[in-house]
Parts: sequence; C-alpha cells; structure tokens
Amino acid sequence: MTSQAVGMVASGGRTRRLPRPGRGTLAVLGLGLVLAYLAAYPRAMLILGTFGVDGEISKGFTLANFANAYGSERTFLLFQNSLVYAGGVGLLALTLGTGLAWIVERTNTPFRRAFFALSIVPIVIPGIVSTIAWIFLLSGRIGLVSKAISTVFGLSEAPFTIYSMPGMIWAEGLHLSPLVFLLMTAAFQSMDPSLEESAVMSGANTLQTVRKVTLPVLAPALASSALIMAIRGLESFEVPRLIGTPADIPVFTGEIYRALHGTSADYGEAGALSMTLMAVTLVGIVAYQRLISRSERFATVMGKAYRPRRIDIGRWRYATFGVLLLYVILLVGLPFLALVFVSLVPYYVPDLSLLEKASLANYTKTVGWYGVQRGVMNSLVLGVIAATLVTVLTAVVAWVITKTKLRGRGILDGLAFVPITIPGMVLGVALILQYLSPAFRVLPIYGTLWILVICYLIRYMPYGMRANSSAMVQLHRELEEASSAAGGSWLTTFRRVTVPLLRPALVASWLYIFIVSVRELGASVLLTNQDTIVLSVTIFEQYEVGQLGMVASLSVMLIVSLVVIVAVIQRMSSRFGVRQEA
Amino acid sequence: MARPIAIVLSILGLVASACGGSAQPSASPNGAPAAAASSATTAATAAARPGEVDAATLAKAKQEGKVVFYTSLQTDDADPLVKAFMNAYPDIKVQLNRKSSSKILTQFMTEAKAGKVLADVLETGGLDLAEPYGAGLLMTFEPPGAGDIPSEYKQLGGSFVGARLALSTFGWNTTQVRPGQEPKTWEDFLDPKWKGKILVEASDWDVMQGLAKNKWGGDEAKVRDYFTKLAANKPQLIDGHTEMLAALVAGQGALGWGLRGDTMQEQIDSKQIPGGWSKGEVMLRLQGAVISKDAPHPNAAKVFVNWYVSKAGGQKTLAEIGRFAAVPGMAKASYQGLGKTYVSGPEDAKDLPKYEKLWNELLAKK
Repeated sequence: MTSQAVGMVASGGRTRRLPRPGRGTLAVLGLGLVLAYLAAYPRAMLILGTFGVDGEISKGFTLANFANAYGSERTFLLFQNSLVYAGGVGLLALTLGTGLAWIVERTNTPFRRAFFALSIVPIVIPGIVSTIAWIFLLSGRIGLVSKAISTVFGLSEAPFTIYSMPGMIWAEGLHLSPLVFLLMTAAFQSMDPSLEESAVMSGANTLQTVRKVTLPVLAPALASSALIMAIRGLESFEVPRLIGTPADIPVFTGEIYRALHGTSADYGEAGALSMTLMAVTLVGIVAYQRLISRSERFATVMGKAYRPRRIDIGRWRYATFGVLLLYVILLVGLPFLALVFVSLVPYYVPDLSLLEKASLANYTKTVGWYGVQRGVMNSLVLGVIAATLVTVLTAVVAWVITKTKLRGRGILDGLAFVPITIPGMVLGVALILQYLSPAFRVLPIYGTLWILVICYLIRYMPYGMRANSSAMVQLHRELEEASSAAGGSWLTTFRRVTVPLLRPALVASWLYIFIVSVRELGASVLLTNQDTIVLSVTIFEQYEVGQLGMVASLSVMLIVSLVVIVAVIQRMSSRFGVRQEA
Repeated sequence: MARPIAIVLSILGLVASACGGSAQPSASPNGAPAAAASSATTAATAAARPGEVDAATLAKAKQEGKVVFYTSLQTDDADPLVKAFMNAYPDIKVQLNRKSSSKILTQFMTEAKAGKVLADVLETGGLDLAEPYGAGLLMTFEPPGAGDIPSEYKQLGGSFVGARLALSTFGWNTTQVRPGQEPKTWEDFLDPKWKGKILVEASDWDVMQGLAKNKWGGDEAKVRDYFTKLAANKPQLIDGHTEMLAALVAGQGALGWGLRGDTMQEQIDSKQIPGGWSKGEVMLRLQGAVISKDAPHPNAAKVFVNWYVSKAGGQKTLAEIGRFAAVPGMAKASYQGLGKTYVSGPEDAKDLPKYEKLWNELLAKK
C-alpha cells in the first residue's frame, strides 16, 4: 500500500492515516465547485474586461487598458505610495490588534472583558462615516482635537493633520485593527499555555516568551491577518478618496475608484489595476500555504486537556489597563463623540458652542423614516444569513486545505480568497449581468434579498477563509484521529470534535462578517431596490444629499445596537467550548 | 447545538423570502405599499388636459397599468412627484427605483447589456444620459406637453427634454468672507488673496467644459491660462460635492469653486448654514427623463414623461417641493434673478473626455 491514498501523510518516518472522509470528500468537492461558481463569474468578467476594448472582450482584444493603468508618469509614485500606505496600515493594525488581543486574552489586566465589545466599534462605523469623523477630529483647520491642541498650546495651527500619509495610515489602520483583534483573540484562546510555561520555567521573562514562543506559534494567525491587512490596505477607497485626494497622495485604490467613477466607468482600466491586487493576493496565498505546509508545528490544541491560562503581569497590569483605556477613550470614544456631536447639531463646525442649537431632530427624522426601518430589518436578516453561510462554507473548505492532502486544495484557498480583490461595484455589475442573462434569468433572484446573500457570500468568503484556516492549523490531527478510531464518521468528527474546538475562531469570523455585511456598500447600492434596501445604502443615500446629521444619528444608533449584540453573543459563546481560568 | 441552528436558519430563510421583492424593482412613495390602481378615471377627463398625449396612447397606457421609473431624484423629491402623478393618473401605478446618478445609470446600462431592460423611464443628469443615447438605448419622443420648456433644453434629437435644473456656481463661507469681499466672477478666484483657501471638487471637469464652451468659445489657450492660474492659487481638491460643501461650511476653506448652488440653498433654508453662493454667472445643468427604447410599458412611459415636463403637471410639483423646475418663472425666489447662465446638457458630453484629461493635467496633476 502506498501513501498516495487520500488521507495518508508521512510524518517523521511513520505513515499515519487521517480519517477517510468517504462521502464527505464528495460533499467537500461539491463545495469546492460551489466556490468556483460563486467566485468565477465575477472574476472572469473582470479579467476578460481587462483585455477587452472599452472593457468588453466582445469588442476585441487589447492591452491598452494596462497601458492606461500603468503607463503614466505617476505609476511609480502610485506604487510607492501604495506600498508605504498598505505596509503602514498593516503594521499599525497588526501591532494594535495583536497587542490588544494579548492583553485581553493572556493577561490579568482588570476590566479586559468589557473591552471586547467596545473594541469592535471601529469596524461597526461605515468607512465613509469613520473617515469623516477623523477629519472632523484631526483636520489641521477644522478638527476638534486639532483646534483644542492649538488653543491650549497657543499655536496658530496644529502640529499634525489627518491630511498626510501618517494620517491616512492612522485612519485606515485603526479601522482595520478590530479585525486583527478578533482573529488573534481566537488564536490566543486556542493556545495551550504549556508552551509558554515551559519558556518561563526555563528562565525567559514575559517579553522573551512573547517574542520567542507566543508569536512564532501564532504565525499562521498572524500571517492570515497580515495578508488581509495588505489586501485591505490596497483595496479600501474611503480613506484614499477623502483624505488622500485633498492631501495629493495618490494610491492604487484611488485610481480604481477614479476609473469606475470617471466620465464613464472604465472597467478595463479598473480591471488592469486590480490585477496588481490579484498578484499580491496570489503571492500571499502561496506564501501562506508554504508556511502552514508543516502545520503540526503550529498545533496548539492537542489531545491532552489544557486550560488557557492568564499570565500574571504584576503591576504591569495597570499599565496595560491604561493602554486599553487609552484605546477606548481616544480611538473609540473620540470618533463616537464626534458622531454624537454631528448628530445633535444642524451642521458641523469645530465649535462646541453650536451645541446651543442641539436637538434630537435628526434622530426623530431617522427613526421615522421608512428607508431606515426597512434597511434595519433587511440588514439584520442578511447579516445573520451571510455570516452563517460564510462561516460554515469556509470552515469546511479550511478543513480540506489544512487537514487533507487532496490534490488541488491550494486552488480552493485561492478561489475562496481572490474575491477580496474584486471592487464592490464591479461585483455588483457582474451579478446583474449574470442573473439577468438568459441562462440565469429563470431563477427569481435578481431584485430579491437572495442576490444580496450571494453577493455577501462572495465578498466575505476571504475573511472567513483566513479566520478558519489559521484556526484549523492550531488543531492537532490526533484529535480527529481519536474520533475516527472510536468509529466516528467524517461528519461526526467534524461536527462534534472540530467545530466545538474551533468555537473561538468561528465566533470571531461570524461576528466580523455579520458586522461588515451590515456595512457593505459597493455592490449593495447596485443590487438593492426600495424593498430590499439595506442600512448601508440608506446611510449612503442620506450622505449623498448632505444629510450628515442623519448619517451621524444613524451611525450612533448602529454602534450602540451592535455593541450590545456583540456583548450578548460573546456572553453566550463563552458557555461553550474550552473553559478558561477567570 | 446543530438542531437549534437549523431551525434558526430555516426561519431566517422564510423571513428572507418574505422580505425579498419581486424580480423587478418595486416601491411606492413614502415607502407605503402602492395605492391600488383605480379604474375610476374617466377617459374624458384625461384626454381633456392640454398638452396631453393622444387618446390611443393614453388608453394603451392604462392597459399597461404601470411605469417603472428609475431616477436619481432624492427620495424626498421622488415620493411627492410619484404621488402627484398617480393622483393625476390613478390607472397607472409607478414603481420607483431611486439611486444616485452614477449608480442608477450603471444599473440601467448593465441591465440593458444583460439583455433585460427593466426600466421604462430613466431620469437623471443630462450629461449622464448621453451614454445610453450613444448606445442606442433611448426612444425618440417629443412630449406634446413640453411647450413651455425652452428649446435649448430639448436635445438629442427628441430623446431628451430637460425637466429640472441643477446649478453649478461658486460660493463662500460667510464667517470667513466679509460682506462685500465675496467673489463676483470666476476670475476672482485667481486673486492671490485666496491662495490656499479655495476648495474644488476633484472631478468637476464638466464645469470646466461648460466654462470653456460658453465663456471662452472653446478656446483651449484661454482654458489653460485660467486653470493654470487657478492651480497656482493652490486649491484643495475634495472628492465629492457633499464632502466639499461640508468642508466649506466647517471652515476647511473660505471659497468653494464649482459647488452646487441648489444644494447649498437647500441647506441655507433648512439649517441656516453659514454660506452664500453667486447668482452672477451660473451653469444650468439640465436633468431630464428619457424613455427606454425597449421599455416594457412604452405607453405608460410616454404618459409619465409628458406629465413630468408639462407646466401644470410635473413642473408644478417640482416647484411646490422647492426644486428648480425647467419652465421659466416657476422656480422659487432663491433661484430667481440669475445673471449670466450657461446651459449644460447631454449634447456637451462628447467633449468631456478631452476636458477630463485637461483637468487632470492642470489641476489634479495626473
């Protein structure tokens, strides 16, 4: 018998048999086809359009779109700015998110539990609103904080402004740090502390332990986070548009936005630009696959029992408490308060005396508006469905990639992750073309909530993949082998062993996708109508007509509601899975 | 654990199905379910209105029973308009689909490209409507009720009639610009005293095009001269007119070049923002309604468009809700007394790529 049979793996000279999925394999392969179906059409449309005249391959083949996208004198500047921007965003988000996750999950810092729900506030706020809030805080001329600092120190102008590369990195990095926080808290929760205890017993201090044991073991989770941050830094457009344009700092995503919103939408040029994103994505996927190819190195959830333990950091816990407090006050509280201010006054000027005109008029109008009522209901339903479907689908796919030796499983990872490079508007256009085409028109999907479900599935698969993939790597094979040896089928093992142990990652993934699906705008704005309108489109409609007060009031209510929901879910999920020491 | 999840998912699936709309866009004014079509309207009453479509078209329109209306009008404006039409024609229900101009156009074009035209009427900016016209997607229809609309607002060989106007002009923050110091002309923006204090919307090359055509007779040298000097005054480019107006009101700059005068006026009226705008030299941007060549309900579409451009119909409603109706003399007082006006419509769209390039070269430095 050779070791080429499915499920056979060589390790240290011994051949071990993984649980043989059997019918499960067929089901998994079927899911792979589902992935291909979901992602292939929009991606194919974008690629073909890239090589087509006027963005349409039916009009002829051309490379002119690449020439337009990359042939200008600014191309080098664009690449340079984009690398600095994406790198800075990634570094800030990773550092902040990982550090906060370590404090909350690994130390005995007081009040850390309350921090969890508050930490997601930056991702709750829609990108446009969040960016505007930071402009209203840190703009050199009109920022509340800038004005306060200038006044206190007697300066003619604040020493910093949001309209700069550091300002852009700040706004975007902060916005993305909760995602890293969610991913890393899940990873920390699944980490056996005996590794760190061994290091401490060998004489390492806390810093050395973190540097030489904790972080290397969590490399897959860090790599997943880094990959998402890199793509997001290259792909998000609110900050480049609202801060980069006035600051004259062009980056890639600003150019993609310009291509799609110029005199007429240039899908060819947008596609050519997005090829860079795709190339970065594929390189990142390959690098990630190599990293986890010896996944047993990163397995932290073993067959033997363990309790994730907190490190007693002594008096340093007051310093870490201070870090959490600073984060909450400055980075969560300030934008929130800026939104509260804008929601209460008739228009924004950086002058608190305007509060004399404060009223609840914006709230009254917002609550009574049909679009809001309908949008809230639709967004909640869509968010729950999308988050659940994405989490389930990507958990299964992640299992295939990390736990089997099926040929071509790396392709599944690529298929599931590549949609992150498709701009939202392009995805919306692709779905309209697909589901109104003669082949698909018979399906009653267009014009209903189901086209949005499909859209969100495609859009958020990449995030689910990264969360679940890095979490799967932490599970040692012996757990599943034990189940198989006891007679459990693949489905039984997956359901009763794998999923419960993945609980932290699944909850983190579900929460993140639920929140960002409520915020999704680029494709939703094309696919919704008056009956299927969602909250993000409602907010955007009011924003477009200058009703910043209503936008702010809606955002405030959204933040408060989602924080409560997240806190409840967190409380409920803590009843299952691995128990932790208090 | 699995069973509760399955039950929850099933319930949500049922709720989602219930929440889903039909395969076509649907809505009603103020979000309430559409008023049931009444068959009570008498043919005699409908046909007796001046500027009405012919009786045969009207009869077919009633048989069709509905018109699918895609528009970039704000919801607060679209709802009363639709309601007024349905009061005038109770036999014809309106299905409203409202999005911003770029998005409604993208949706319309994409649906047509997919081979399934769902919209009967598309109403948005004239410059945007040049694209579907160029793609052969529009019907030629000269509404009999458009007699009061100025002839220069009728373009594209009968496919387009301007029904409402948007204003592109310049404005200022009244807390930063003393009375008497306001700019009076576009050339005042070249005064070095405003250096670093001017906000410009980042993609306003259509305003450049309008000035080039109407003010300088298309002389590129004059265009280059003006915008080179404007660029020397270090204007700050802001992406989006909403953002630009918010930044101007907040004090990010003192002057706003190319801002939307009608939007600013709305906010002055409703929120008393510290702003003012110039009436001296204004660009009138035509916004109009066109009919799809393959409209599912072509006759109802004709009735709707005809009503929209007629003085006693849609124009009256636009004026009542405070919008700038195209029929002269109907706009509210704030829009009266305009000085020089330049008209910008779909026939100007062909020059936009040239001016986009010039704009990027001189102002956006691309």
